[in-house]
Amino acid sequence: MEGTTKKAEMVKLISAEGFEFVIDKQAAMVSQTIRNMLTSPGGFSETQQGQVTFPEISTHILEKICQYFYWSLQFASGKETEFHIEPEITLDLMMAANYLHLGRAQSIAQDYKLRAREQCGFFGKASK
Amino acid sequence: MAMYIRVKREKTTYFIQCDPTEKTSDIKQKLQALTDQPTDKQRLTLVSSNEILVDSKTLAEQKVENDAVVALTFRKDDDDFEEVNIARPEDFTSFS
Amino acid sequence: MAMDRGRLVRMCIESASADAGSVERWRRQRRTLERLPAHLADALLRSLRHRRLLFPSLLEVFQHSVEVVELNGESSVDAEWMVYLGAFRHLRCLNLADCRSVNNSALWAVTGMSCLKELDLSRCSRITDDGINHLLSIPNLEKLFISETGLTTDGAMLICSFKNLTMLDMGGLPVTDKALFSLQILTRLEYLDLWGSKISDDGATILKMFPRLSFLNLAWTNVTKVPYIPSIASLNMSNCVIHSISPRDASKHAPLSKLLVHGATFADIGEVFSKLEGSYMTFLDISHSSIHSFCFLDNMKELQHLDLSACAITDDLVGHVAHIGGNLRFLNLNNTKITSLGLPVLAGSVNNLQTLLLSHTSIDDTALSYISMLPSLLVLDLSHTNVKGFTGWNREGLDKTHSLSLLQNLIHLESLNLEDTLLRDDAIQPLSLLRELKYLYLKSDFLSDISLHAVSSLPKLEFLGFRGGVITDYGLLFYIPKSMLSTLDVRGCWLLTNDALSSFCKMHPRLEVRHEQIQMLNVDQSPNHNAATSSASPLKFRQKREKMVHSPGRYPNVIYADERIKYSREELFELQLSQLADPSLCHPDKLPQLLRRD
Repeated sequence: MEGTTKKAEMVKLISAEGFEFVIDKQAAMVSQTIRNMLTSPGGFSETQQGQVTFPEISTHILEKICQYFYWSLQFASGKETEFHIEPEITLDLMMAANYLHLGRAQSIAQDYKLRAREQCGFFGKASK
Repeated sequence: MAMYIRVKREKTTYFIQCDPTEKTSDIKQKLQALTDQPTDKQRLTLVSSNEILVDSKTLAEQKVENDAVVALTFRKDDDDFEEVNIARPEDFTSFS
Repeated sequence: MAMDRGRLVRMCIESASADAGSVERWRRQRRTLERLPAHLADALLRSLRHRRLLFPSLLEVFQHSVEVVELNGESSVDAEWMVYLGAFRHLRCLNLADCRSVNNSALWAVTGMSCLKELDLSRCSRITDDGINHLLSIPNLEKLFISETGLTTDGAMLICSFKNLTMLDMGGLPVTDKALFSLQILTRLEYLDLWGSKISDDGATILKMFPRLSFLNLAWTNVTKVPYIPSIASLNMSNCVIHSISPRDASKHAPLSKLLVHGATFADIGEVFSKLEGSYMTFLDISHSSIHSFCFLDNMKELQHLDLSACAITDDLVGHVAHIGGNLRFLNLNNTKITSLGLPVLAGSVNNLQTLLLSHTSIDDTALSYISMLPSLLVLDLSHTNVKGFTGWNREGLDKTHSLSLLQNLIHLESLNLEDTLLRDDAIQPLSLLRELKYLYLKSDFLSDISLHAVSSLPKLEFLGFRGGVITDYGLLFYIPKSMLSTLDVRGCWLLTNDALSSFCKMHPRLEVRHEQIQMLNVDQSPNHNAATSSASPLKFRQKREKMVHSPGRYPNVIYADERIKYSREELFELQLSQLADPSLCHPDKLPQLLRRD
């Protein structure tokens, strides 16, 4: 049986169009930005009411973000499924992810560098 | 976490963590905590098949899978349930 | 949940650049594209380029967002691309190195780009003095790389217009003393590369006029005397004839920390080094130089990187290295007369060594017991040595013990090169104990399936080179690579057939397999070659293959040069650029050994 669902354990995220997503606090904490909002002492007024409004994030994107939170928890617990992203929403989702600190461009650059590392070995060889 | 379902009514979506072995009534218990509506005043409908979920059956038995969308309706004063009503964001987009 | 950071953005970029179809599904979202934060736009553009999905008109969607464009090595980049790039309002950094089709008129498109601070045109040989004239309208340029372009001395004199330059690479250009004089108003210069220029000792005197100059490359010039330069930290005088570094009467010592004198000839080695405050030195490359006395090393206690390859260092002289070995991280003794007798001297004094290169030396297995005492070693090159894998070998084959098992003491070892040694199958088994190994290079006519399977259990291996070995089809198909492995290099494994290789590739789609037959397969699949291959008999294939075995290094360039070689090239330059902060590493020979193989 899964854990109890209590209001205190849930947070409400509100989209640009005023749609509400009620999700587990644990899932919302996947986002560094939301985590900061919920844990900063006395900080955001949102915290008391357990809700955060995102006037810049559309409903479709916010729902996808919430799905990502849960996918992320499942992934961390060893359930390796694919998180499908339709090409149409990639740009908006990327921006929302960036805002919510679900992404840093540096790590992408690092990926390329790692790949470059190994390939250089081959170049060194071929050029001799 | 085994799985979650998305329970929708009007402009609200509840992400509910659950297990395939849980019964529909268990889900309603969880929703009661969130909506303040007693379980007997709730009705859940699996949107993909339009099937009304039966309290005594498990989610697995009723083909409710991870990430499934389930519509939530409440019993009205006249004892009937409301029509399924899930709002679409397109209807609320401001064309500024 | 810190591990989640970066994942969703990366997944979005992967989805957006999955294929041409996905691009079409977002490229008309103009309002979103305009709002895209620069670092996301830059990353998306980079991903599209790496997936070969970028074309000129697609650039338009990035004109409001992108700040960094790296197209180095793309031969297709021409005037059409440049027109689109010219409209990038926020472009800060443009890398066009090795873009062969970029010429003067193409460069016209970037005139007046007021945000542009960094421009790399290295090796764009079609750019001449006229091209530089187009750039004069970019007032804020801070970094300019124009090595090996078509500039003349006159063009070099135009550079003085870029008053804000901090980095200037004019390598391989005919920069004369007169041209250098004209540059002395560039007082912000911190980095100046003049390798292969026509500077003489007269011109070099002007270098003291650059108060912030910390990196200077004068390799392959006629400069023999380096004047006192107040801020100099890194100096490259490779392949020069060196009389003095900093004037004899200088009251202060040069605070030089990095010195490269690869292939240099010294008038008086003692004289040159007596003027340098050795205790500042952290990086010294004296490879291939005329140096045969090493006493000057004795006070270089801070030295971390020492390249002595092809130097006259011997077992008797290696004590000089041991004496200052405490901080050494990198030691290159390739192509020296060092033998196993020199290693006891080193072991125990170079305890922080991370990279040890002993390729093309006559060391044998007895050296391994001393090498295994270097606890921090990450990279070890023992290729082209007399290592057999056994010690205590006698005529009856009795008392022999595995020597490679000593390497398991090196608990951090990531890269091991054992190419062209005397190893046979029965010596390989201990390698399976090197749990941290990421790169393993083997090359031998004597290694077979047994050895391949012996190293298959290495859990962290990313690159396995197994060249020239006797691998059978059966051996390959029963080889199960661990999930970390990204490249398997089986070039020269002449027993392998097309069928086996292609089934193996199908079984392991994520693995890059390198073999001559695979290159042929690629050629065969291209429509232009169908006619030719249909008539090719198995015998012909066999002949080709044998020819290849004898001429390694040439065939891959010819057959599939267009993709892979180019990629590694461009990425190499990318890497070099990324190391500009550490200028001494810019010399290709100075790439960490992990990345480079001889």
